[in-house]
Amino acid sequence: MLLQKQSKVFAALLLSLIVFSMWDLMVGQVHVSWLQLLHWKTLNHSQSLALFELRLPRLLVAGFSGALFAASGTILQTVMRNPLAAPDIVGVTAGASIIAVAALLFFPNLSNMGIAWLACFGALAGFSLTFLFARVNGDVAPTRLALTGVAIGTTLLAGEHFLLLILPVDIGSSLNFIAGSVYGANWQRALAITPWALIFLGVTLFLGRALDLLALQDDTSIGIGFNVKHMRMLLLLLAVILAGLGVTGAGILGFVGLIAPQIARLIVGAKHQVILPAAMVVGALLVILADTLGRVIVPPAELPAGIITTIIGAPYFIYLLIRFSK
Amino acid sequence: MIENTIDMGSAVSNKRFLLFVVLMASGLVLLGICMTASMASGPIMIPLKHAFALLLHHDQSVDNTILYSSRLPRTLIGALAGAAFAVSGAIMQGISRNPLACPSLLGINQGAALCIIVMLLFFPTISTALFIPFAFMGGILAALLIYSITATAGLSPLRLALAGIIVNALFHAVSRGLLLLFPDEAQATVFSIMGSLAGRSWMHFNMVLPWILIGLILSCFCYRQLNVLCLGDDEAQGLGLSAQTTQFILMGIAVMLAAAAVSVVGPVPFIGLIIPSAIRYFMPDYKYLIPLSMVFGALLLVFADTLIRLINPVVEIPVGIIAALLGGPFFVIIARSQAKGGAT
Repeated sequence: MLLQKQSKVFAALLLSLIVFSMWDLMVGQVHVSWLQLLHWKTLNHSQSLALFELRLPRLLVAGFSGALFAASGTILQTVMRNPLAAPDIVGVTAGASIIAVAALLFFPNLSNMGIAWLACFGALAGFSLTFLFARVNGDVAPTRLALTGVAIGTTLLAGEHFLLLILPVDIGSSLNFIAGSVYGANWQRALAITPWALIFLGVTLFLGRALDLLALQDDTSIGIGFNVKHMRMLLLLLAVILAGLGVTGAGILGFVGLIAPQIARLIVGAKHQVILPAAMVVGALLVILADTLGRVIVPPAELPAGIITTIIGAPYFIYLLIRFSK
Repeated sequence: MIENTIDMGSAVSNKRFLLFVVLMASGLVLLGICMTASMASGPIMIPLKHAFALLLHHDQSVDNTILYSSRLPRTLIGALAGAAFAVSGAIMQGISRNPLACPSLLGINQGAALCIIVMLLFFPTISTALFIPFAFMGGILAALLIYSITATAGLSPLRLALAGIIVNALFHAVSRGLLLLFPDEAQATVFSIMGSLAGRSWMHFNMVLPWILIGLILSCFCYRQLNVLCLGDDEAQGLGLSAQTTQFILMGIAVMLAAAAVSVVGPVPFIGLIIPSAIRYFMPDYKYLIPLSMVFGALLLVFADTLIRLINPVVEIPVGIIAALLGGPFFVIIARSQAKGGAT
């Protein structure tokens, strides 16, 4: 019974993913209708250029970044037992972003993959800083973690703006790490993150059971022969890498890592084996939708997807804060 | 009445007064130095000695024109706005009894900035006299939003700050979105959502002076109420003070100061957090805390504004970025020290 309901939910999710992806491919300066989309071999030159060289890589980057942030948020929320945890709340994305910009400034010849790994390192540094400062007497209270993370994130972002303004730099390529936008995503970037995103998202899918166990009380999990400490460290590391890859793809997409897991929990229940894939699809959906909306609201102007996710996500965060404190 | 309790140990009171005089005097001297340095620095450096001499006597040099037409108004606006932010923060911390309260962390700066941007984009012909009332409306809106969140959930200091930051992020995103959607109109508006003093003129100074001056003078007379409110609502009521009315009036003054400052320099963050919390460490009494906040707030903003022109006089870094860099670590430390009070 339950399984039937879940498979219906997944069918609906995948269907909307396909529909919204098609919408994303259709709109823009050069319009492509959905019928033409199905007969993609008959497109004229400008249409196929827009579709295959601009919109398809952009769609891939948007979808993968959303899924990466969502997976990272799901792990962080469960491992830290904190509904307010998300990569952009606990300083992870800001750390990744500042290191990626610094890497572009100081090693301009670095490959996309090199930047991605450095971004993961920055994500780890940002998270460690947040964790260390939020820990008082061995205890990390949820609200303090969130507040400390936001404070450290603010400082790192100010540092990043400072770097960008004092050093000569190709602003175009570094701006995408701040703004939270998939504008200008090309095949080079899409191909750089796709394989790693697939690997790490795949690994994450197998860790649903471990997350279920961690959601239990520590004593219970230890009782059934489960090394809580090691597993927790491993999962946190994975969450940080996922977010670092996400930042390399689309910069800081505010609140995606917070909302997507929450929505997934609401619609598929409490088992992480189903929450994880659902969260990934919801995350991808959110970013693709935000990117499309950003292009259709007032063309030809484009709003970065990150602004739209923030406008949707911030009120939700406040709602959570209120509900959580009652 | 609170006066009596404070004055009870006259030895303590004398010592405190002495400390106040020392801090005030050193603050004023530093402010004087910083303001002179601020007037001297820019794309064309004026020698400090010459800058100082020019303040006393006009002459016919190019330096004279630069100093009087652009540097002097810029420095004065910086000092006024810095003082306004700091006092606004001091008042907010007092009425909410929350060391993390300040106009930038409660979303009030960004609320005011958003309203100004809306006004500039959609009503470009409106008179500049309405600038500050508009900003005030935005600030009040943000304050009411935060207040309703607090009222429904009864938030601890940490949660209040967190809610404020998120409201801030929301307003910031909307402002940025609006500026991106209307790029042509946005270029005509010199308003910076990062916070900057570049290009400020006597027109801005005249616009903002009455508001900030009135706010600062009023807040100097409110120290008694603030001291009582710090004791707690019940105690305040016991001493014959209607806590809620007083809080609302004081909040109005604080929002007006922040909004006026935002309307000329943009939402410069953290000055209202750093200065009052640092001074409170030495001087918890609001009688001294408010005037000291004024002087040191002015000092911090003028100092940061001078610093950015020394780093790169041609392409200026927005002063808000320097303020965020200085204030961020401070914010982390205060949040950490809240471990006992609002642990969850």
